Amino acid sequence: MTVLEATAVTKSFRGLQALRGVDISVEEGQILGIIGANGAGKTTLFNCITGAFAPTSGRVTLDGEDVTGLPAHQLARRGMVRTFQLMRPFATMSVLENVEIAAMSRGARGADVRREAARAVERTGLAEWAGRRSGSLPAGMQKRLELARALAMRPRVLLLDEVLAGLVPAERAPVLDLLEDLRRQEGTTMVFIEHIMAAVRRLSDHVVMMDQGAVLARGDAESVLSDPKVVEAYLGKETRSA
Amino acid sequence: MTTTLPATDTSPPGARTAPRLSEKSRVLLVTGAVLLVVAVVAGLRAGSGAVLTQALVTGVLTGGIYSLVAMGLTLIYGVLHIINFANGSLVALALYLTLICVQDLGMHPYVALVVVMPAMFALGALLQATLLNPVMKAPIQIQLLITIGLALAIENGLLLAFGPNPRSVALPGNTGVQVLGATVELSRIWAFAGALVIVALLALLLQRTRVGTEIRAVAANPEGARLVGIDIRWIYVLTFGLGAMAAGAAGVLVSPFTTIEPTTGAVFNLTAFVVVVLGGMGNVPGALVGGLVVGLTEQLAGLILPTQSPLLAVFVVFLVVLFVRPRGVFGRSA
Repeated sequence: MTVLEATAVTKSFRGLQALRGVDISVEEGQILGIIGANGAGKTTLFNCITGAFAPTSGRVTLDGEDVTGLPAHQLARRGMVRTFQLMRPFATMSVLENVEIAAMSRGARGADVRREAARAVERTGLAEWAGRRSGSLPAGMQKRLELARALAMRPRVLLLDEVLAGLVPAERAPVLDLLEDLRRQEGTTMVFIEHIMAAVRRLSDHVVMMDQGAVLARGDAESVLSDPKVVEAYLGKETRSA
Repeated sequence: MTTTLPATDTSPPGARTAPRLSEKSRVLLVTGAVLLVVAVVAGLRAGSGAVLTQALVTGVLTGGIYSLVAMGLTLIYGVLHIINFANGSLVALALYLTLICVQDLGMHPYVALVVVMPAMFALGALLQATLLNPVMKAPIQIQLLITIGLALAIENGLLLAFGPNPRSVALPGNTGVQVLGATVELSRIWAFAGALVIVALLALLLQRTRVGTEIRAVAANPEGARLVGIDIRWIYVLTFGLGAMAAGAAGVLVSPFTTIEPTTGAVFNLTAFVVVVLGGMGNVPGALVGGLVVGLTEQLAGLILPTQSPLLAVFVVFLVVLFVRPRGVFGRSA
């Protein structure tokens, strides 16, 4: 079953065509990796899908239902959950409070909120930090907090924008383990933007490569990453690989 | 097996919490010490313990009201990042609404709270939904100018409707009573108690309810709030409503001892800005402390410099705080 589908999505900003008819779709329990150079339109695509702004044209469906142009908070409540490259914690609140607010968004109440939040905090290795003010966490821990908030929202589809950015290599493997585990155990459907090719190879069932606002190649990770067009347009210039 | 991320890559939590607490305590301690010195000087200058006691009691009682007036201002700033120049005018509007409730509808002044508070909440919510929400992404001066325009419109609307003559509201049984050796009007004690109750209710709402948590989340990070499914435009509407309601409550509570004129709001505006800056812009507990500091400063300065306007001392304190601690006494938004 297709969980998320974007069809012929375009986005223009005053004459600048940031997206030129992009199609992507993700089946239940699968992971789609999106790669491409900076400025290729990856984050703009995420923004159009998650309601940060409405696409100029095209259609976005979640579980077959047209959700094009719905505001971000409504999409989040329906399970379209997103993390950002730059963290957005509620800095004045504790780690646990941050996650509790996320747990509330999908309708949990009272003891359920605390249980779901505690579970997400535990799972992301933040239990010891639960009472700490989130604004005082180091960047790596704030990244975990973003993941904890996303998990507490019981995502129908989880969109991760460079979730490994800012993490030192030793911190990346456990995050990848967690994401794989989420897919295996809970069947979480994911779309992720990533520049680290080792992560793309390890996680993706399918890969879409974007270039100048359009899809340049799609398929399984190996075929896309070895595609001469992809090598020329992106990988040849790519320096961040692990 | 369930994967969990290990938490071993950095220092244990709690290591940096101690200095933060001690800093806040230090600031409060310094503020208290300065007030104590000022009180001693004022006492020596007045030459009478009774006069000093009177000033201290009056200062605390007045300070509570200032806190309530500033509460709406600081709440709106903390969440919407709008400096609401119409705050004082909203207090003035609430004063006239109280006047109507008492003189035309025959209500007891405090019963007017049940009419004025919801009415002011509705008005605030309406103003945000219609005037301010559409420009929330515009540069900050647009929102400022709208609140200034609103203040002018309310003030002149009141002038048109009620004329320039001063009015007053009488509180039945408003006699002087003894508090710790000082004589104060009963209406001031009720106003202080009412202000504390409303401030406490607001704090409870913010800390203990779902909607309060959402308000704090929007204050802390609007984009993050949107990510977790919070409708931030609705929170803005609600917050402006609550801010206007606090101004409304203040208007009712001060009505028995305030001269009601269309321009009365200006005085409240000025004092509320000082309170909010002292307490830290957007900081709700800070507004409570700021209100008490301003109330006490006004009264004690009256003893030290009897021929000067009490506001002079308030502004001197204001400038000193801005100079040594520009973030205010509490520093960060709540």
